[in-house]
Formats: sequence, C-alpha cells, structure tokens
Amino acid sequence: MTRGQLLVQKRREKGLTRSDLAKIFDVSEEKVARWEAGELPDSEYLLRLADVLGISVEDILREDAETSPEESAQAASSEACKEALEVQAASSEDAAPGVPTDDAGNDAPVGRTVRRGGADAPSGANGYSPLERKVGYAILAIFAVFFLVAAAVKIAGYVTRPRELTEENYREYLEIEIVPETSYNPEAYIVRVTALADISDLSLTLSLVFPIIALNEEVTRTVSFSGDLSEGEQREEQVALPGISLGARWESFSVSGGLR
Amino acid sequence: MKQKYDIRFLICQIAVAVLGAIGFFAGGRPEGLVVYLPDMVLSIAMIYFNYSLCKWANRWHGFWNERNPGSGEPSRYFQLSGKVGGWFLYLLGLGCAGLAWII
Repeated sequence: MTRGQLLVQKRREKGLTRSDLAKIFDVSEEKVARWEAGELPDSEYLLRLADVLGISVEDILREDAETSPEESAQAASSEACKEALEVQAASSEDAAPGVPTDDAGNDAPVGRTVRRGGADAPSGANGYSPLERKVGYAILAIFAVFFLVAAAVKIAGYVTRPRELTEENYREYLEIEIVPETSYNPEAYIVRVTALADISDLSLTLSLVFPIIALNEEVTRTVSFSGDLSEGEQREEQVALPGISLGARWESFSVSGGLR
Repeated sequence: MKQKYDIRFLICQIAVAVLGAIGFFAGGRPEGLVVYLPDMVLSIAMIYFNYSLCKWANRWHGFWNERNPGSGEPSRYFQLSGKVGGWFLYLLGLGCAGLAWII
C-alpha cells in the first residue's frame, strides 16, 4: 500500500472527507488530493495528520506504507462498511453540504454530514433566522407603537368630542341650503337641512329676507326645524313668496341641539 | 429552542396584525378587512413556511417538467425571494391598516 492509499484508507476509516481534512488543516482540497495521490505532506502537517488519522509519522514518511497486524485486522473487519463510506465520501466531495441549525437557530459548526441513500441534506428550515427575528421585532415594535398611539388619539377625540350643537360648530354637523323651487323666475324657495351627524333635540330657526322684484320690497320669512335627526337625514320647508325673488339673505339665525 | 423563539415571533406578528385589523373598525372602514385579513394570513404563512413552500414548488415543477426530478431542495435565492415577497405583503397590509387608523 502506498502512502497515498494509506492516507485514503485511514481517512475513510475515520469517516472524514477530503473537505473535512482540508478544513482541519486549513488547506485546499486539492492539496489533500495531492497528499492522497502520493505527495509527501509538508513537515508542518505531519504530526497533526498522523494524530488525526491514528497512524504514525513513520507510516506517512514511508513510500510504501505497510499496515501493522492490528491495523490489518481492523481494516478487514470494516470491509463491509467501506463501500458505504466510499459512497458517502464521493457524494460529500461532489455536493455542497446542507446547513443544519443548532438550538439557538444559528448555523451549526461545519463538520461531518452524514447522508443516507444519496439524498441532499435539508438546505433550510421553516421559521425565522436570527437576523430576521431581530429586524422583525424592530419593525413590529414600530407598527405596534403607531397603532397604540393612533388608538389613544381616537379614544381621546371621542371622549373630548363636543356634546352640543352651537352657532360656532353647527357647520360641521348641519348643511343648510336655500334653493329655488323653479329654475326660472322662482316664486317659492325650499329650505333644506341635512344632518351630517346624529343630532338630538334640534332647534333651528332661520329668518330669511327675500327681495321681491315686482313689489320692489323685501319680504321676511321665518323657517324652523326641530326634532331628532340621524346622520344623512334631510328636512325641507317650502317658503312661498308673493312674487319673483332671485335670492335671499339671512337676517337671523339660531340653533341648538345635542350631539350623540 | 429555535422553535420556541419562532413561535414567540409568530405570536408577535399575529398580535400586530390584529391591532391593525382593529383600526379598520375604529376608522369606520370594516369593508377593508375583506382584503386585509387574507393578505395577513397569506403573508404570515408565506414567511413562516417559506422553506416548505419553496421545496413543494420545486418538487411540483420537477414532477411536472422533468423525467427524473431531483430532491427539490430550494436554492438560497429562491428561499430569499419567498421571504422578501412574504414580508412585502405583510408590511403592505400593515401600512394599509395604519392608514385606516389615521384617516
């Protein structure tokens, strides 16, 4: 058995691949392949190589390394496993190993990977990586704070909402329109009130002045609305005039009510 | 241990999604939940089961297109693209929920 064959045999007996040896000695796989082809390893690797493979330095230095009787017996007894080891070594030297994770979710230290039947090791796992969890917690915290602040503002706005309809805030809750009944020479107008929110006990009084063209004078009409209005509800009052009027102006206005 | 950390993070994801869903009611837009809830369910599932989904997609593609399909192990790029897509959907949903809260 040559030096190279001895190294190959011992490596396989230890269940190591060329890649594993390369990593242990911090050399390239090509270098390990050259050792196994018969090249004498550098002196700095001899002691450690002998220790890792379980042989003596003399065995490595010998051109035609002969195994001891004990080693021959071991080699014979492991003959049944050798074929499986060769298959594993061949597949592990060709394919990239998988990356199992340890309990903390970190990548496991590089070492032997045992494969069965040539199947690839899992290349990942369900769940989250540690970096993903870190960044994810930061993003979730930002959104959670935002949602909680928005909820607090909504609750505060609801608690401090105005409870009464006044002349200062009625425009937010009431829409008042005065529209002519006909588009041409109107002699009657419709006063329409639309509730923009739920209003209870509405009391709205409008005093409107209509200039009558034919009579050359102004006519005052008072319109009142009362009761409960729900959001979107409309009330109308018709105002009949003695002649044609092209517009109206408000003379006085009063409003009161409760906001739900 | 990893599973415990993962479950904890998953619960936080779901909790923030629920907070966002409340915003649709608070903002008076419950009809937005029709899009929001499926988006959240889909994105959270995509993020958590990313590896299994990628592997299933590869296996199905190999079964359908190849005579001798391989193991279906997804590449890192495929897994990364699945994660990016899942997180994009999730953050998009949270953004819409944020708008529902403030508008």
